[in-house]
Amino acid sequence: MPVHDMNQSANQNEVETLTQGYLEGSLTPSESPRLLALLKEDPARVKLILANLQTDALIKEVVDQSDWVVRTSTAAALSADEILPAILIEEIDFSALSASVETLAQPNLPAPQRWRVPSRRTWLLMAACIAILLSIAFLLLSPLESTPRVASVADAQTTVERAGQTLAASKGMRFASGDVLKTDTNGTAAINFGREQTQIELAANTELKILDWKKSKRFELQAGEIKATVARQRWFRAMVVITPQAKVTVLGTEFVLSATTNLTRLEVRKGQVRLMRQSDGKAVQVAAGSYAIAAAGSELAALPITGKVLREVWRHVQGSEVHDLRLQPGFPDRPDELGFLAALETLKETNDTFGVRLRGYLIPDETDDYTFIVSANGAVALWLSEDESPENRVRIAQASAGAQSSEATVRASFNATQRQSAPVRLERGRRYYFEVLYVHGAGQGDPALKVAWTRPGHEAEEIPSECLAPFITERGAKR
Amino acid sequence: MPETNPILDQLIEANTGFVHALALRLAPAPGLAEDIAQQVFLEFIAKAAQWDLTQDIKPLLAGMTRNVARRCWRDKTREMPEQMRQLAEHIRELAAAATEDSNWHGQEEKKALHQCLEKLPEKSKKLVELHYYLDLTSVAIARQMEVNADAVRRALFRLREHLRKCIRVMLARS
Repeated sequence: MPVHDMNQSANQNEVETLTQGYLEGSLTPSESPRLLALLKEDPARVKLILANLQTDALIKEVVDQSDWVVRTSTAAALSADEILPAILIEEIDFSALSASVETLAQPNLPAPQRWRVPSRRTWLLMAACIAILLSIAFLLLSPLESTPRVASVADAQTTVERAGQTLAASKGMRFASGDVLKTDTNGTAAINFGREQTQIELAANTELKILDWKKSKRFELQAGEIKATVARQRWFRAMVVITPQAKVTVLGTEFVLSATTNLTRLEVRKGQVRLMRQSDGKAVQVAAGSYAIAAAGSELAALPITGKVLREVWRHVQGSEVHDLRLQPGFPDRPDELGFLAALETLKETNDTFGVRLRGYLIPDETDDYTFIVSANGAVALWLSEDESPENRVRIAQASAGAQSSEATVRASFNATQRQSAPVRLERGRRYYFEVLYVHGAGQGDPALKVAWTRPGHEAEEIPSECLAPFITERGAKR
Repeated sequence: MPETNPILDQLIEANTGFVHALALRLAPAPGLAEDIAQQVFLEFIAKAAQWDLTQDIKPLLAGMTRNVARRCWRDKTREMPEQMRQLAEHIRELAAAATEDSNWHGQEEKKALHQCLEKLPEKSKKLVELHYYLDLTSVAIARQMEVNADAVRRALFRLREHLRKCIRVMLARS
């Protein structure tokens, strides 16, 4: 092969490899500059990216909505020999495709002089056409069928009531319309929907009736609590959960819903959910990080969830300053640990080097000028936004690793001026995004961190948990 | 909500392609156009009482799509490493400058693709299943099969090219 052709082929391979990486989100930072250079070299390549993004959306939609996938095969069961050589060598049989389409179309055939008995082949073709049309009609018109099943059961007393009979719930059991799944005092259970990434977890003492799932998923939460992670539902087929007081409508999100005889509480972790009060038809959109209550005598409004803060941990940080954490591989998207805490706390059980990011919203209970104080055995910095947008955050207080304190000092003192912010005006009930970065380096003793605030005429105090709300992204559950 | 207002349903259905195509040009990242379109329609539904539904709603949806796309793009790229952000921004600029109107796929394309998928060899179907149905990246597929990830990336890229050609052939013939 001539050198020029070989270069062209290598270049084409590179374009394909890097473009595919971008399209599926697996492109690494080190690969990005090369794709950037290739795009600058030929800006028309962006059209290929756009076309491919659209084709991917189309393929995904068709694959998600149809049954052609070979369900019995699994990723684990496949080997390289089974797939790669075939993909790289085999071509789609376009000639066969064209031929079959031509056979179906045939608009220019001369009109027959007289009617003839169709040949066997014609009959077969007609039958094939009808079968294809019926298949397409079935695919387009049939409802989305993903029969709910019991995904897990944590107690033998969990039951399913079906047509007046009480059956023991077991893993894999298929539900019928009208079934009521019941957990007892010690029981939990989960429901899933085949290949769809939707899961509903039932807490103890919960009764959930499965009303329907063919047109859209409909449930009745008669009592107890469910936690639902809902994959994006098809247009106009939102999932609905009815409680004695409310109707909850969701397209795709993560939420916790609890119902008692006199109130329904909805807490949204991701996305957006609509809660409608049954008694008067009044509705409210509840966004991520908020909750709402439907009950007689209670105002129907979305309120921020408080009492928790998001903590992300990166282990084995190279260095002991805050900027070292920012240079850590995996920062900020891939922490080693992630969880919600009731207070602004660091890890305590280790003397290893690590970094922590605490994120959330401050919701002051009084309008005032607040001064923030950070104290740590290690390096710490505090950012605060003028609103709930992380983009507007600014660093207002910091302490470097050089200014080490013993845990006792951290606990006792808040006087060091270099760790203190200027007064910041905060309004009661508003949400302000904040972020704390803390790095504990080698040889710094026990980790310790304290974030406090004070205002004129008041003692410094740790920020109360009821003034903290967790940071939650707005993205949906699946993708 | 959608099920209570058939006019709203029809308007959304009629404009779904328009919003998707615009979102793709404004925020050309995997999966983002669908997220943006869904958010646009959720906001549109939430404020439905404010709109005059007898007028052409395309300009309104275009404005909402721009706002939502700006927000989503900012969220998506905010914490990306610098090199990746530069690349993403460059692609977005090029996409926004692309003048030709692209249409989102309709029922005809879906039918055609379905038939094309049926025509795939069994082994290619399995690759489609792994990537598009089980959401495995080429890196994950390669790791499971202990092969080079680049080979899987190229295979997926070429498979998609084949499918696109096949759709074109089917649509031209029908």
